[in-house]
Amino acid sequence: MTQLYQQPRINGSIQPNQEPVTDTDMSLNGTTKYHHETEVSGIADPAPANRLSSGVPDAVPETRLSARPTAGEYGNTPERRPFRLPGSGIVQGMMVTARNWFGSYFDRKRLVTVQYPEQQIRPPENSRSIPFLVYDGDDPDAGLRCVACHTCEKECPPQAISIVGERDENGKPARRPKVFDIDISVCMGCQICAEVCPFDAIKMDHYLDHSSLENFQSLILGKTRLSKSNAYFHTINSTDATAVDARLEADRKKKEAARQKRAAAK
Amino acid sequence: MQLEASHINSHATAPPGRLPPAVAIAIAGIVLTGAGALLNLKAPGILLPAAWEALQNPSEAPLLLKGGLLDYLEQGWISSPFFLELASIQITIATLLSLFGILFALTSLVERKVLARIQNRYGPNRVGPCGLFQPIADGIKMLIKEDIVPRGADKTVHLLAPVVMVVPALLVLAILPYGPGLTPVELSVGILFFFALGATTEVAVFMAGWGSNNKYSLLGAMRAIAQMISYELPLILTALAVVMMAGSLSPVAIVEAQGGYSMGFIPDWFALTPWGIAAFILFFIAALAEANRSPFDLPEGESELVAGHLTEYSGFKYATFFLAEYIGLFAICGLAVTLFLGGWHAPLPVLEFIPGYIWFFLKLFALVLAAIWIRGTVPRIRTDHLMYFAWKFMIPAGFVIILAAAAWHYSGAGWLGWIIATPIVLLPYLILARGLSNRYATSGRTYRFSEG
Repeated sequence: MTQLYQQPRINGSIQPNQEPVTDTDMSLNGTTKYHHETEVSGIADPAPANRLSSGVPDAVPETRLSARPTAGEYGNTPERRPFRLPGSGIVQGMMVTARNWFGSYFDRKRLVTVQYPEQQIRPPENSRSIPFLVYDGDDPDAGLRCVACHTCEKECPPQAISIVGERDENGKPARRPKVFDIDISVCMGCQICAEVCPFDAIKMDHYLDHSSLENFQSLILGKTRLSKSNAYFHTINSTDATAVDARLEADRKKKEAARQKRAAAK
Repeated sequence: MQLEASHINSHATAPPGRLPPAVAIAIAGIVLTGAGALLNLKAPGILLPAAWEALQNPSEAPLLLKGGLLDYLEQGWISSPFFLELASIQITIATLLSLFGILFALTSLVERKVLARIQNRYGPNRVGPCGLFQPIADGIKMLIKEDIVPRGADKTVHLLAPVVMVVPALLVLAILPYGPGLTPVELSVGILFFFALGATTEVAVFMAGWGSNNKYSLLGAMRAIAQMISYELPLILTALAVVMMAGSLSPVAIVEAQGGYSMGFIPDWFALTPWGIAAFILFFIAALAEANRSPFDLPEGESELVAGHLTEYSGFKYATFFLAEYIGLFAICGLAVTLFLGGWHAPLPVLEFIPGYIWFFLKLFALVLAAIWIRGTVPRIRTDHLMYFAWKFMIPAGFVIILAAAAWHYSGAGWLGWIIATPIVLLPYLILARGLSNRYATSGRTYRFSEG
């Protein structure tokens, strides 16, 4: 395409029905534009059809070619336009808006907006709002994948995550969080926590209705509100969820095999 | 998708409490007043026949209702003729204010709806059925907002500007003929009164811009004043042609001059003459500029001036400006109806059974809809284009229209008039448009790096 526009002296053949309606002023400036009489037409002008066929891919739409101004050398070049009645551009524009104005009363498909709380579009799988914690099985406490490794807490750019690990009666880390808070007024939805999590325990949610009547405490979501089942993860992003399941299953099998090997070696 | 809906509903709605005492007192007051008015036994005897008569004779309805109300006041409440006269004026004012208030509320909704439809959206549809109560919600929002006055503002001027803005906008409503015999004030120089008062709006705009102590306000106000003064000229020139043809500055006489039908069905409106249609278009364009409507809404161009002279206004003062702008639009559209579209005359002889005031407001609303349509279509124009357009196109065209009107008048206002007046209007239009556009034509631009 670059080559095309560098060809010197192309006589832009503007077809009247394709030219863009640009001007808004009633009649001063532009619904009639005059080209200078020293037009480039005489110099070197392959017909538009030739232009298209000479080594230019067919994918370049004709409208795009003819809509652009006559390209001479770089810089400003006069534009060639047929004479039109001053003000006719406005009338054309008014017809377009009238078609849209009344059209939507007859064809409801024109109305593209979605009436949000009642109708909701399913967001794309990779869309994201805030993170949530995935748990396997039915029990949010026992099935939680999070092992309180603090990786996401350290990586979180706005430091929205705070984790306190659970310890057992001997004081050793119990590999699960006692507190897992995300301040969603701080969270910027960057997905870095989900990127760095070694256990696929934290994933990005689609849920958006976070408004609450209280500004501070109710925007800090705790472990119970953040925990969502793997089944839920499958409903919002089944591609990732399936891949994660397969990976975890492979890991589990590998560990199982290794343990059996160790047991056999003993 | 119902995701985790249980989380949001944790804030249960408050249990329905007892009636607040203030509301109870208000209801009791209304009930007691109504009962008192009814117990004054003369009321039904006077008001009901008047209402019945008004129903039977709809074209005289406003006058009959007012007469009944005055009779009632005379017999029940007021004895002094001076105060009765005052009451008569008050009734007219209250009717006008409430009528245009309702029209304002309706238009603010219709404007948003129409703009939305033009952009393939629904528009406001949350408050009430089809969003009908949206103006009420807007009004409540405006009223309970904090009224912020900037620290460096000239407080008196800042406070007075919305008042100075809204008063002339309301005053000019007095001279418009709303129907046969329905002119609040029959001024013999009504048109002059309209333009004289309309011009004071500029003072208010400058007060707002100066008093706010804000650069955007001041710039916006200066733009607004330049624009309004520039566009007042073509506005008055085109109105002048009508005044010449009607031979009077009185709106009532101008409307009466447009009564009747040629060939039995074509109304004798000034807009249906070769000079009149051109004058009407020019007048409407200039009216849009006077009312600061798109595409001439440069004074409030939010992309460059925040909100122009309205930048530092909030709450009720802002609402007052908003009201004044809309009332100004109604007034100038009403004047356009009066001057060019035959005022309260019906468009066809068979439709004359519909009362004149309904025709007036239908035409007025059609013009307002056209203004909204234009707002949904054309983008804002540049300041220098605005000025060029006014001084180099509109004003010469206004003079040409006066010439054409004279030609129309002296050639007998018939087919000969069409033959003579049409080229007088059309040729200068083409010459002006071609000549002006040639000089300021912009050329296409080829980009080196950003395209291709």
